[in-house]
Amino acid sequence: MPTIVIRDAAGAVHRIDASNGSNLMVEARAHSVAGIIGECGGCLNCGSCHIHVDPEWIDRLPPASDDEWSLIEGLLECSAESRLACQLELDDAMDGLSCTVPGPA
Amino acid sequence: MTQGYILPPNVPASRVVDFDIYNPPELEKGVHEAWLTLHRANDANLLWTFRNGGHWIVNKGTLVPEFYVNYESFSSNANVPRGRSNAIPASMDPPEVLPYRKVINSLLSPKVIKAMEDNIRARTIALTEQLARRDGCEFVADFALKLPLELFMEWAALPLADMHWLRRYAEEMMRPTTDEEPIAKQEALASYLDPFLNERRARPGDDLLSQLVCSLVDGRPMTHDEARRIASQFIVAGLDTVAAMLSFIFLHLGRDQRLQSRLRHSPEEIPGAVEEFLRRFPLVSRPREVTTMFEFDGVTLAVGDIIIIPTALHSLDDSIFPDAQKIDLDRTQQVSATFGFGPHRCPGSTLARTELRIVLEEWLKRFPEFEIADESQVEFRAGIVAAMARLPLRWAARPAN
Repeated sequence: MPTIVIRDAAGAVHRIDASNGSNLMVEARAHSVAGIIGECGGCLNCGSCHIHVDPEWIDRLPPASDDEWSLIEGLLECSAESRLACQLELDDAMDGLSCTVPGPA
Repeated sequence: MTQGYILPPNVPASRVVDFDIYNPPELEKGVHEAWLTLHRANDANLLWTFRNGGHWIVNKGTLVPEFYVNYESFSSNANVPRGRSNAIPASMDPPEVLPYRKVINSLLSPKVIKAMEDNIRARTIALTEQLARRDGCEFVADFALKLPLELFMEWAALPLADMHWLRRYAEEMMRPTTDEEPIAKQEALASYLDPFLNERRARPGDDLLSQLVCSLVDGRPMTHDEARRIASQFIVAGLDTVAAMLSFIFLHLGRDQRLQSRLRHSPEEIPGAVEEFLRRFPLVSRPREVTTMFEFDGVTLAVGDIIIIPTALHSLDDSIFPDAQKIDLDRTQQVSATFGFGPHRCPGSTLARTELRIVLEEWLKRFPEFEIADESQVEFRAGIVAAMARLPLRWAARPAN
């Protein structure tokens, strides 16, 4: 059961004990993380669960698919550390993952 | 019951209602109100109406997301009344739809829309300045339709003179008045676009149609046929929805002077108010066609059955949004159904939100308190996308100087 740390758009820090096999968008929404909306439900259609993963973590995650990256590129605060939370399936290897919801657009 | 209508064998008589989605009972009281009246009069989660060829209606807000998300059982290639269309992406299911959505998402991305903001604001100011010299207007025709239409025509580099003709096509697709197949209506629209698309392919500019014809689908160039089907959808989906949402928002504001005054004095609350208006006035009730036999709520949905999924019932469900009919700017936002769920979630949501926010900011800056000039003249339209036909507003004229 990995623990994920998210700094949300309102500045609050959430420590989430997540379930293996869940994804970070679903877990963040369940914990009311400000700025994680997940409007499309996780089918790569909206980009409303954009996060910046802490630099030391970005290369430890499975890389973004072309489809995920194409959506990220159109977002206002896209960076090399950008991911969509809905595409991060959680497992024990992600214990301690730390990330930030980009500030309000 | 209507004469000669035979109830399909899988439909229990207890589920049958008389509800025409294009002309529901008591439409004069409002589209959202019509859906709520149906909901409150019937306990079952799934109803069957014999209107428009006969179809199911999802009658419970909490079920709306799952019916939109479950594309494996419920196909988007569906119409009411029954009829085929070949719209991209609206009539396609995953996985076929995915590469097209990728193209469309990138054409309408937050970055693209951000770059358009100054232009949206300039056009909004020009239109509001014209109207502010008067002491009233018919808001739907004089503003709500004009602004999104003008912006779209300019973005697509289409002649402004064709604007109203195109809008009538969109209207006919969403709220049909003839029995012509949807595919025939689409074809008329696509034929209009053919010469423009050919011209943009030969000499691409930086307009929306040029970007579309020059885009790649799964790594190969988009075909002419694909481009005309997508461009037709842009017109159908882009010309009608923002106009309708603006109309419902201004109807509400015209009836609620306190809210008007609050937003006029606290413009920083406008983005939050846009979200709450979007939640409160969802427009869309899309059809789906059953592709695998489905047992649900004590009935069997047969292959080929059509289901209408009203987003209004999700937004107005008190168990999802407490006191749901109330506009409450302090509501803890939850995801509303207004932009849909799943593979067809609205790709134009950033554009819509931007237009709505800018209109409220610029309008409230320039206009004194406004109200409904004549409630008896307020007129609604119901269908796949709800709209308003007439909204007379009035305000105190500026003193002449």
